[in-house]
Amino acid sequence: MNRSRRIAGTPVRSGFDSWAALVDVLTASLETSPNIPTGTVPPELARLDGLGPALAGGGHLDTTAIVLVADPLHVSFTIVTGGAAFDADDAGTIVPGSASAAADWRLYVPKVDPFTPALEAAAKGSGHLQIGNPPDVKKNERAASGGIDLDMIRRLAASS
Amino acid sequence: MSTTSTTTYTFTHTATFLADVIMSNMLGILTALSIDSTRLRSGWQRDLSAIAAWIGERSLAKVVLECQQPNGTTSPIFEFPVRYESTGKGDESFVKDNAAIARWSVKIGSVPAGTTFRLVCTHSGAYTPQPGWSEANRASTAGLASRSLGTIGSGPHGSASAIVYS
Repeated sequence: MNRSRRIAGTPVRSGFDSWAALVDVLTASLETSPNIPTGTVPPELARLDGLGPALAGGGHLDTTAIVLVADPLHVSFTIVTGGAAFDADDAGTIVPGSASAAADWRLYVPKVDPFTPALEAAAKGSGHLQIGNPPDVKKNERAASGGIDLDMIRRLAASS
Repeated sequence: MSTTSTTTYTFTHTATFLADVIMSNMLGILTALSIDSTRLRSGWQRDLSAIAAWIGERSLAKVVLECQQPNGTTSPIFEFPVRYESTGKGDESFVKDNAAIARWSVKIGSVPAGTTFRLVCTHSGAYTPQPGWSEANRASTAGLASRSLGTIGSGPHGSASAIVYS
């Protein structure tokens, strides 16, 4: 279940406020799931206090997404800045499909120089924050489809 | 029949954008220098709001990031001068450039362990007091070599650049 959202960042609203909007939608979505206890998400995301707003405010999340993986969810969030922010969406409400999000959710934050050491320090010891690229989406699709090789189907469709 | 939409950029938009760019670059510098940035991160909203408010009233001249080494030396020192347009350039959008400081941070390496930082804002004319900020004198840059890192962000009503003294 792959989804993406483009959140309006600076100058529509500050990097701090756009990061807060992302935290709100992540918290509301994940805690909809009965698998994820209420109150457990904010402390994890608080590890990124100050760092998240810097990434958002500096335009580092314009094209490189923060990705939530909580099977069956796979949601990419970008926080767009500059003139493009005026055409972006609000963070929105709960991500559809969140009710079945798995307890072992992961939030993948991209490596962004020179912030990477601070991001890795913030994520150290967390069971949910990962610094780096998320798993391959195609592998997720294959697993979710019960082992059907979607790549092969696409190749067959293309050749027919 | 065709339709179009326009967006009016206000001075507040420019102030928000430049404050974000300056704050983000300062955290990037502290991280690159391995200086504990906890204080900047924990006061992020307060300092961002203060800088944006001062840009919004056109009173902010420079944001200064001073690195204070354990031996009493203050170096390097980063200045972020803000330049204001007398009239907004309505057709100009918002541009940021993180590359200059990223390139510089690769070269500088680190500062001695235990180095801390201080933020100082200088003003041109009257300004509105902001929570958490008090009167202070900035450190001297005498004897330090300066190097321009270029424009780090610009909007329709102004721009911010960066200079390092070391």
